[in-house]
Amino acid sequence: MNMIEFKQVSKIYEDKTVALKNINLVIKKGEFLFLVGPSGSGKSTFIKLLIKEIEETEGSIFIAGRNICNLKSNRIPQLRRNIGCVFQDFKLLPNKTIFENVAFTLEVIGKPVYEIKIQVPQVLKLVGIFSKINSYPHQLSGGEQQRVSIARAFVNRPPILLADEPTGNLDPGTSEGIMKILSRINLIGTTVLMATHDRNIVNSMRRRVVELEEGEIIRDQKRGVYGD
Amino acid sequence: MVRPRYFFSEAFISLRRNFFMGFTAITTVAITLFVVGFFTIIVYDIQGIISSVESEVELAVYLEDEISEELKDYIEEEVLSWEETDSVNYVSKDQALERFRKQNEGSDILKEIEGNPLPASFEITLSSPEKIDQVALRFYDKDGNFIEGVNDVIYGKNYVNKLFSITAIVGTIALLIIVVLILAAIVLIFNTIRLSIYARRKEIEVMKLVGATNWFVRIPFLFEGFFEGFVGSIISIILLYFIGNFLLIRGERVIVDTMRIKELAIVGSSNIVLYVYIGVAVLGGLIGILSSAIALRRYVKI
Repeated sequence: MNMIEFKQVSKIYEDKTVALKNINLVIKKGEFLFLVGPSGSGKSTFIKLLIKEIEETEGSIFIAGRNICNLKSNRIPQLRRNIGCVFQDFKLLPNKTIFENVAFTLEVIGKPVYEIKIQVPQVLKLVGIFSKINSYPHQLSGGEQQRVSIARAFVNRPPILLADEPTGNLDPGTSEGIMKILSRINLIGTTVLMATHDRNIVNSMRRRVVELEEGEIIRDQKRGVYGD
Repeated sequence: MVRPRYFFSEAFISLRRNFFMGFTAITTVAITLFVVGFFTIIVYDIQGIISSVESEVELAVYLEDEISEELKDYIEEEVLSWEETDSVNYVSKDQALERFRKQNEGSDILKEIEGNPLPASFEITLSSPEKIDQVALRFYDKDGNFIEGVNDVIYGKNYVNKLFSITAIVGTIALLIIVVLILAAIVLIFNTIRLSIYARRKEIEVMKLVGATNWFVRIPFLFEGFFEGFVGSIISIILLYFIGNFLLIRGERVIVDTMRIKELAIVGSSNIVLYVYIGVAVLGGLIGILSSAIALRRYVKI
């Protein structure tokens, strides 16, 4: 089953910058895919298009077989509930505890309290940060914060997880831990798409690699490496 | 997915955070709505006076002190013979003084009166009030002077016309002030909401990221705006109740005294006041919601 499909997708920003040019790509359910390329190659645009933070200029994007291009704005929240997002800067709320940060996702989508009380500790155990459940983000290291951020993205068990440079701010050892969590989440059946320019990680994981350069796909390799 | 407790607490957290801004906005709304309510009541009141004056249009013909009994009787008979006349009431100098004493009971002015400066008069009511100008003219001769024995002719039409122009002026000025104040209130609430949105931009970003519906993001801010508008309106109602009523009753007394209107619907007991209170509360809430809606449109792209 195709989880994500790009059909001749182009994105040209208002200032005429061409971010993506005629992208065709199929990502199957349960795949783990690295999106690599230098800064400005279109990785972030790719991710923003998937959560409809921006609109494509041309082409169609399908998620789980459904065209999301002409999705009405009041259907976008539903789309986002099915796509977890992890970012380089974690985006945790500083005045909420770890529990509250993760619970926030569930509160926002209207889950009842008893469900929140079960699901949050579960996912915190999954990412290995359960012991910090009552701490605040500033009391945690970068790696720990990123685990919380992954927990928040995944607590709702979305079929797709997007990660935009999740290890960008972390040292290699910590990054390895984050990658283990993402692999574990992928093993449960979640489709994971990770944008990165961390050469070591890509090379050590040996997963599918799609390389972007100036908005175009220049390489699509099963079990690939970062490249030269 | 209704979570009133969540929306309430989020709104109050914001209010606490921007206490000063919120306070300013609430004060502005209170002043604005006080002015709105006060002028509405005044304009309504003056209109009430006009209609009560109109319904009992009366011509007061003041007589010279030296008028002879014959001439007085002649005028009375003459007036009674006109078909426009409904009734004629003679008020002697003594009766006039007595009436004046009663109207100004307890006032210092009574001590200053020596003798009886008040004239005797005929009070003429008309069966067809619209003809009052014509009737009044009959007390003038060809040269525009009063006929013999008559000192002055005063009738309600003058008051009515004056009142109409006063109402128009009061109304226009009030409208201008109200428009400016409402705009100021909107701008101020808009600003508090803008600050709240700014203070919570990270939360909003995360909310949208994890799939909060647009209304879920908006409602706490709308609540906050509504609350500011509504509290402002409550304060203005309290002000209207105490200060407004006090001023109005004073003003009414002045009007009643100067115009010698027998009876007047006293504002405090009239339904209009209740309607003004309700209107003010609704307007306050609307101003609040409207301002935050504008701020949300501008600063929260959903």
